[in-house]
Amino acid sequence: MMGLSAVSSDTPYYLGMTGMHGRYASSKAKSAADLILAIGVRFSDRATGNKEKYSPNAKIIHIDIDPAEIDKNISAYVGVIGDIKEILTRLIQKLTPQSHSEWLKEVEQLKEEEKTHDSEDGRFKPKTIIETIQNYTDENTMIATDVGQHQMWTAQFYRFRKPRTFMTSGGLGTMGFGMGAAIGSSISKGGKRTVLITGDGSFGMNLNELATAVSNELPLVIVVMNNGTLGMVRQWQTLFFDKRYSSTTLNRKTDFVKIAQGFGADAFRAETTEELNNALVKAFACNTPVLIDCKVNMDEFVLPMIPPGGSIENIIVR
Amino acid sequence: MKLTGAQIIVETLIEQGCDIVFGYPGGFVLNIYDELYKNSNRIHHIISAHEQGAAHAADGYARASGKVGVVIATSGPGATNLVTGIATAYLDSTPLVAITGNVPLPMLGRDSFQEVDTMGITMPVTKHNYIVKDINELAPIIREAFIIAKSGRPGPVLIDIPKDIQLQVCSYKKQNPVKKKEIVTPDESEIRKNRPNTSSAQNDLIFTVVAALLFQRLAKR
Repeated sequence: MMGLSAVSSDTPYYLGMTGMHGRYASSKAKSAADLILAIGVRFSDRATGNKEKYSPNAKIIHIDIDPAEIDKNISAYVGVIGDIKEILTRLIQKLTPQSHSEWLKEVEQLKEEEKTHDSEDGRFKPKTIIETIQNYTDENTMIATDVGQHQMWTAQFYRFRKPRTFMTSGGLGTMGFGMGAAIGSSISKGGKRTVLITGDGSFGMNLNELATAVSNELPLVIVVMNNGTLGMVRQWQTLFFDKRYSSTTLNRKTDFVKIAQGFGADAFRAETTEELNNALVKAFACNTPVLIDCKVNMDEFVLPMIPPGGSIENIIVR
Repeated sequence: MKLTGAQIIVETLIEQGCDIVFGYPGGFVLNIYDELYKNSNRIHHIISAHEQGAAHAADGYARASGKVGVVIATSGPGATNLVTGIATAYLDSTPLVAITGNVPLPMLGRDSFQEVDTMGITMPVTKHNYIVKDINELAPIIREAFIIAKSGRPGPVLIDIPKDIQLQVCSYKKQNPVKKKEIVTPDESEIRKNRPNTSSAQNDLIFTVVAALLFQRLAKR
């Protein structure tokens, strides 16, 4: 996930995120590879799943600036320590272009398979929300998230094009990161448009920073994917705890629209794609903070999922 | 020129190219905030609702810009409120410099008002941290903190500054910031190989070997 935006989503054969909630084609291709060029990668447990079964046929060339990362989690065939830019520049000079039409055909096949996993049932789906937001942003718009299902949906469905446009807490996975991060990233570009995609749980942690966003007059669009629950934990409780929803159903009467207005921001509600579009039109026409409270079904799943300790054989796609 | 510790902090931050810092004032950083006020045309401070928000803002600032993010907080609860933000930056390798105030040196370790062992608390979640006990060390420490924060694998660095150090005076001379410490030039990059018959070789040869491997692997497909 932390590599997202380093390469444009428009690059040919871009497969997107890999790992526990990685895209199907990406995870399958990675498992089938016989050579992996791991560039600035730390092989976190969220990315590898079961380390013993991680890409079993692949030789891994691990390039990283931190020597401690080589062979820390995954055994590298060759470890190269240094600055990625320098190393890649030199490596590229020594290679001649290759063609791999058979492999690339396989990859295309995986992408076709991936498309069949999406189910359309007319509900106001998370994927729709992310893709609708994308219609209003450009390649320079910064996207911040908090932590949870909304974060995974953003990582899966938003198409980043430029580096340094994705602010998300990957390593620590900090709920509450979003508002501060959105504020800081907007300010760093002299007050540039930033979208925060967040959840009702995460947003509830640091929504006091609405005050900071308002007083600094930042063009923030805050989309709360509001399902009245701690979605990611609920998903695990559904899958692994026999639906014992311990402390994840938030019996709250919070009105995020009133809260945002109470802080001096504009706010709208959206329960359909049409309402979301109407709200986004107004939000993007505004140069001060705007919040959009989006109603999401509490039983939406983040898929695919490779359960903890699992490998590609255990991938759940529906 | 002779400057107070608080003035040195602000001057060194400006020297390092900071024009925006995030934070939340408090009793043990009053003098720093006084200097920020007097220098508001040269350096801009953004106050948040909570120190955690300020830390995340400095982190977001660093991620978006590539510069070192700076966050300032007071002692005790101010510093502890930064911890989650610092740990977030630590695990995602973001360049951050956190400056915290602390009680005066003679009051350290006496359960003083708003005192905690900030260095102890943040040690496992910082790339490096400092407590300044000598005014003459203040500017060099800040400069070094910036280098550590942005060099190699970036990370958060915390500097704890007792209040009396902020009030003491010493001479300050402006220095230009050091460019990122260059980790490797091509001739010095290190390659570790897990293959059994490894012969020691010049780096250039090793690069050729790596390239040949890639060539070989890719050609097989």
